[in-house]
Formats: sequence, structure tokens, C-alpha cells
Amino acid sequence: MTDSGMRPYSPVMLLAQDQAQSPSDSAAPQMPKDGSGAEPLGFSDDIILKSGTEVKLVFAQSVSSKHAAKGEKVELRVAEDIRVDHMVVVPAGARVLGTVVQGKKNEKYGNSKDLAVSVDYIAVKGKRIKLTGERKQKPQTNVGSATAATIGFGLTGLMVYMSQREAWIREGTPANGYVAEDVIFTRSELSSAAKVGD
Amino acid sequence: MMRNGILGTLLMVSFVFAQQKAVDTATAGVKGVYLILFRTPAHVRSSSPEVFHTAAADVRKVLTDGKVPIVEDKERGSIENESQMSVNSMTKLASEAGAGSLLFVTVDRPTSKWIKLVLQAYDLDGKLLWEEAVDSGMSAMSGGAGYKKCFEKLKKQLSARIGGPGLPVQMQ
Repeated sequence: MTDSGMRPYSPVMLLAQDQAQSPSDSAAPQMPKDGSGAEPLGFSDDIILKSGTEVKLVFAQSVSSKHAAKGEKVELRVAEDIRVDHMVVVPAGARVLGTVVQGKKNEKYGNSKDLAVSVDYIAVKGKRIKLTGERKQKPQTNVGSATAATIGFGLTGLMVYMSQREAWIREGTPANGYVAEDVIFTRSELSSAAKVGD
Repeated sequence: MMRNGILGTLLMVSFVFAQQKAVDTATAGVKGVYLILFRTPAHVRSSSPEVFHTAAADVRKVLTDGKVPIVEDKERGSIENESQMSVNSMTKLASEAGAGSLLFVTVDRPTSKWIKLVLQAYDLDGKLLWEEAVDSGMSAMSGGAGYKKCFEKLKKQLSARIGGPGLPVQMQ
């Protein structure tokens, strides 16, 4: 769909805020280099998906500042399997829900130039795995690569400031999110889910 | 004679139970329809959200009156918005919600009509099962009259589809 005055988002300014250092962060174990988020298992049957694990996402719908009202839900999907200790804890295609945090004021009043989407959680296996954005996002100025570039979510969401009439994100646009807090899975839970094709 | 009467009664009772089981099985096997409504930019420009939500409610009413089970999204309830989503994304949501089909309704406001509804039923593979379009026509003098005319057409055309592909009926 094309429209005069519409252009793909241009992340001229991406809001980035330093995540406040919490006391537990300094004591947190280092992430394994393979990014698996694995915790040494020891004698436990539990598999822990650690907070901070990167989650590759993709937008499952288009979002436009002209049409998306603040508070509206946004559909995304997990783009790649999330693995812990070589087990798939969250399969690719799992549903992710976000929220429009900046867009139209409400259904009646439209034409906002600004668009911000926060990514909230993954809904999978009856659980809600909370997600958050990365610590810092470097501003990108190359409009040409912007549409193919990965969007990182700032802590309050992805902010796109536009000088034209509308900001939008196409369905299929990739994005990154991060697991917000540790999530525990049991091996039996994952095995049974794998068996039923969950 | 008494023996024949008892035998007859027993046969009747087993027949009734068998019928009930068949109905239960049929009901249990019926997967509902997942409903998504989309409001076009033209409708946003020239009409109101109330008209959109009224149309959504009326579509639901026609379906529920026809005993078509509507599957609610566990996370969001129903989806009624202005954001575009591909058929693939929508059918995926329908499948995850446990529905057997998707009914996608587009609410539009063409320049020459007060309102237009396009109803498209899809199976979970994304195949279009059928499509119906209803509108207010050109003779209505006001939005209210136009909507009423559209709704009459909607009731007639949608009701004719109930029980067919994409709109299963719940027996009980």
C-alpha cells in the first residue's frame, strides 16, 4: 500500500534509556556466549530461561500512527526458536503481544505523527513470558537500510519520530526483545509439549 | 403383551440415548468461527467508531442468532481495529484460539454509499471459502437509514451462509 506522505519509519531518533542498575544485576551470572540463557542444571529437572535472553521477533501486523490508538494491542511472533540447553523452550512462531504506547489519542482522534510500540509478553504453553527492550539503541540514520534493519525496542517501546504525516511499521518487520525475568520450565513440560506439537 | 411393552420401552430408551450421543458428538466436534473486524481508512475519515462497533455487534448477533459459535481470543477477546493483518496472520490466530474457520469483516465507507461491509470466510489454510458484500445502496437519505438498509441485507445474506462452509452451527 502506498500513499503520498507515507514513508517507512525512519528511526531518526530512537528513544534509549539506560536501564537502572538493580542490586541483583551485579551479582547476576554472565550470559553464556552461545546466548542460550542456560543455567547450570545440577540435579534440578528445571530449565531456566534467563532474563536478558535475546528474543528475535517479527511484526505480525502493520502498525500506523494514523490508525493505531494508544492502548491497542499489537501482534508479533517469535522469529526463531529460543533454546536453553539445546531444548526448544519457545518455538518460532509463538505469539507475542505488544501495546501501542504512542499513536492516536483514541479511536476518534487520529493523525498522530508519532508511533511507539512496547513489546509485552510471549503467550506460550499457558505461560506469559514478559519481555522488555534492550539497554541502549544506537540511532540509525540510513533510511534505506532502516526498513530491513532490526528494530530494537527501547524500554518504553520503539519510538519513531516523523516529520511527515505518518509513521508506520510493516508486517514482517523484524525486531528484538529481551526476556524480562527468569522463567522456569520443567523437562517433562517441554517433552510433553514437543510430543503434542505445541 | 407386557413383555412386548417392556421390550418396546427399552428399545425406545436406547434409541433416545443413541440420538443424544450423536447430538453430543456433533456438538463436541463443532469448532467455532474466529471473528476479526477491520475498519478501513475511508471509514475512519468519513464515519465514526460507533458505527464500526455497531456493525461488529450486528454481525455477532446474526451469527449467535443462527447458533454459530464464536470463538473468543483468550488474550484479546475480539479483534476490532484499523490495523491491517495478512490472512496468514489472522488464520494463525484463529487456529490458536481453537476455531475451525475465520470470518473477516471489512467495514468501509465508499464515497457513494453510507456504509459497506465485506464478509470473507477462510479456512485455516487461508483458502477463501466465500465472500459476501452488503452496502447501504444509493437511495438512503441519511447515515442511519443507510445503515438500516445495509443491516437488512447483511441479515439476509449472512443468514443464508450459516450452516455452510466456515459458519458451523451448534446443535444445542
